[in-house]
Amino acid sequence: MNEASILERLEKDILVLTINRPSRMNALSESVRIGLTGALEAAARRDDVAGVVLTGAGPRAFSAGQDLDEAQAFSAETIGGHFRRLGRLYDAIRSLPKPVGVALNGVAAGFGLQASLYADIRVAHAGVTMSQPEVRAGIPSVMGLWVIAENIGLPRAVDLSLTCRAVPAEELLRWNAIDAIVAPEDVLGETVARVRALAAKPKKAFAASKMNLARLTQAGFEETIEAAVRIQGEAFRTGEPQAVAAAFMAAREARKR
Amino acid sequence: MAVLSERMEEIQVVTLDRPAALNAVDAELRDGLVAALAAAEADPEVKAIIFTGAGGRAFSAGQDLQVSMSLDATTAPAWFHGLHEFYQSIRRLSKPAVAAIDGVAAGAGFQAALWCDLRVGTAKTRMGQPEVAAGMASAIGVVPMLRALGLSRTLALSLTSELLDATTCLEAGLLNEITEPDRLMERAAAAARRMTAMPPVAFSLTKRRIAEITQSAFDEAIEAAAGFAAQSYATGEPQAAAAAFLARKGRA
Amino acid sequence: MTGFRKDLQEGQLWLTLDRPAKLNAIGPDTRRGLTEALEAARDDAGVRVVVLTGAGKRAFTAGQDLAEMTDLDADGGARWVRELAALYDAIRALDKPSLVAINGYASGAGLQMALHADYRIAAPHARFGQPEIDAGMPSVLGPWVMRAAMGLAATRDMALTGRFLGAETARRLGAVDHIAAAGRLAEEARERAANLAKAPPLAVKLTKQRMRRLTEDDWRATVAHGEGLARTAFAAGEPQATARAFLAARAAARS
Repeated sequence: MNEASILERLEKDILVLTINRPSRMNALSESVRIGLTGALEAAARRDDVAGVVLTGAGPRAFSAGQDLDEAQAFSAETIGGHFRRLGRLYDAIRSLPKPVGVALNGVAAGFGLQASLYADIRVAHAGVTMSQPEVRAGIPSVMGLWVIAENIGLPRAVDLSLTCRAVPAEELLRWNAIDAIVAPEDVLGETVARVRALAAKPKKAFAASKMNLARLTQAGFEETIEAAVRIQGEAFRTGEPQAVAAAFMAAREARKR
Repeated sequence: MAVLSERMEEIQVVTLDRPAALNAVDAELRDGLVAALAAAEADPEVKAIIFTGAGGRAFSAGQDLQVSMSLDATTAPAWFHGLHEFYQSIRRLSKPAVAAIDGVAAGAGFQAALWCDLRVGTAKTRMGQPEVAAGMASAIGVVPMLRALGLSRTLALSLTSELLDATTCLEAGLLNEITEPDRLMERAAAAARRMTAMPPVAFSLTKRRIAEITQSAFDEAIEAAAGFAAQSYATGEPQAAAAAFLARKGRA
Repeated sequence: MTGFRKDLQEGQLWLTLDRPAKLNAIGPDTRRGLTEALEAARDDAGVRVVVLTGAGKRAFTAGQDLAEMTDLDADGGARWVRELAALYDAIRALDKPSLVAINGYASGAGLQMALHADYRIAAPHARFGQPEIDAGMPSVLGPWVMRAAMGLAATRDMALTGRFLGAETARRLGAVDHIAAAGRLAEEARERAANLAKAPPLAVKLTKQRMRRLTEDDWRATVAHGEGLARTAFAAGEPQATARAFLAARAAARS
């Protein structure tokens, strides 16, 4: 029986959404994407929800990025649709007129990093790292490049996208890429508290302010999705991403034997 | 030769080599760099490029003063169009590009470094955009500066013509790392090798996208700069600034 | 004078917000007066550099005067945004350098004036914030210039939480260019202004005009959006009620 890939619970008025695939480092799968998108879009309409917190199950990862088994099925014909649907999930985060926080219980890589940067609040513990490892997986960094550049400048976006390095929490804090570093057991509670504090602000002013930020970045966000569709299609037509994915899977199989 | 180009294993080290002039950009250096980069890009054995400046005092102090003094309202625009190819030769590289900056990177030198993927410096590194002090509008440099520093700091740096010290550069994201001078090439190579390990198609498509983000702003900035240069040179501001600088140096 | 002083010396025009008992808060007269003074400075050949600062040690300015908010209607709210935009436009429109010496709190309009200017020098105890949200005001004009200066993460943080940053953090994030030594803000500002005044004027003008042109369309769209949002917010009554509650709580705390 398949366990639900997204767990939902209400902590009073704060909806906590947990990516629930700890044995896969909470990798982004279709069911995660559909579950998160649906829950976020519904949260906008729910009167019992004043704010949302995203987190990951287990101690290792918020999300380590794209599920590699599912990525095996990507092709030049289907990759564009995949990025458009991913864009819709990111849009659900950035456009929710209520506060969204990410409780970084562990590694945030690729999708994990990007989802975090679309949120309003990010709390981590000292062992958390963020990375943008797409290029190492043979996937050009387009959407990640944009959201990192928007938040903390183009040079850092170039650094993360081209070196794929894991940035430690302390450096992320200096960059204002995360808001606070607390003990691992306090990450969720602190995130919920901060989201609740935002939810206590005058509601119309909060929603209008957040929507204004979305407006300021709207043209860039849309252009980036289109660029991702175009460039990922080009990459997949060369066969490199598929070859890199296959090599990784083969290595993983070899390690199991 | 104003530009040296030597292979260090799989890395091409391109050195701006006019140390007596703090590696300032004149026509020979400009053309030398364009040629060296075209060769490095075309050579399949070259996996990355490291830029550096000879002499231990500067990466490059920017536009050569003799050039500034020799231009006038009719010749200045052509110089700026020539700079388009200078910067574009860095921007269009599909291979990793690291700037190793021991000393001043100012004006055209600052911009050349900013178009690289990563920048490693030393405690002596200072970076800035002194065009205005030289009587020139800061138009081309603001393209990468706005992306790195934001509007307010770009104006502050452009109008004060000040040079930021190494620590400030690191905090602001203009430098990725500060190291000892005798470890500079080693650390630049390590930075380059993090990138040479990447799948080449994904890497080069990402680099192409990075350049694409600023392409139209960059192209337009060159045109604007050429127009401003004609205006500025017609007033004599740049020539006067260059002459004053040279007089202060006792080399007029 | 209408809440500020003008001093012209050696080409430096110092505009000092001067209601220290009210943290140099900016009411309608000050707003309009400052805008006129900046517009006049633009064409005054005797002015080579403009310096904005605040009287006293506590605040550059705490921003808009909350008392003004309590009785505005939808039209009044829209006009208030337009007048603030006109003030920032007057800073943007200067072809000569501008410098803000931040002697304490730079809040709301204070933060924004500083970011629209060319150079920001802060006292070590200066604090920077965009607390409009806590006054029930949607934050629109501020985030435009904050994002331009500091990027999205810092902007979202400040605009949504309303929190204040110290001078060192503000400097690291791109909102401050230099922190003066304690007690030396005015001196260092004067020196810096003198240096700015010496920069070749045509080079300065061309640089500033270009930056203005590059950002003008986006800024105008934001001003229009801000006016519309203020109209909606004030029609719904949230800012007026929040301002009244804030002023009442403050009065109660003092009695």
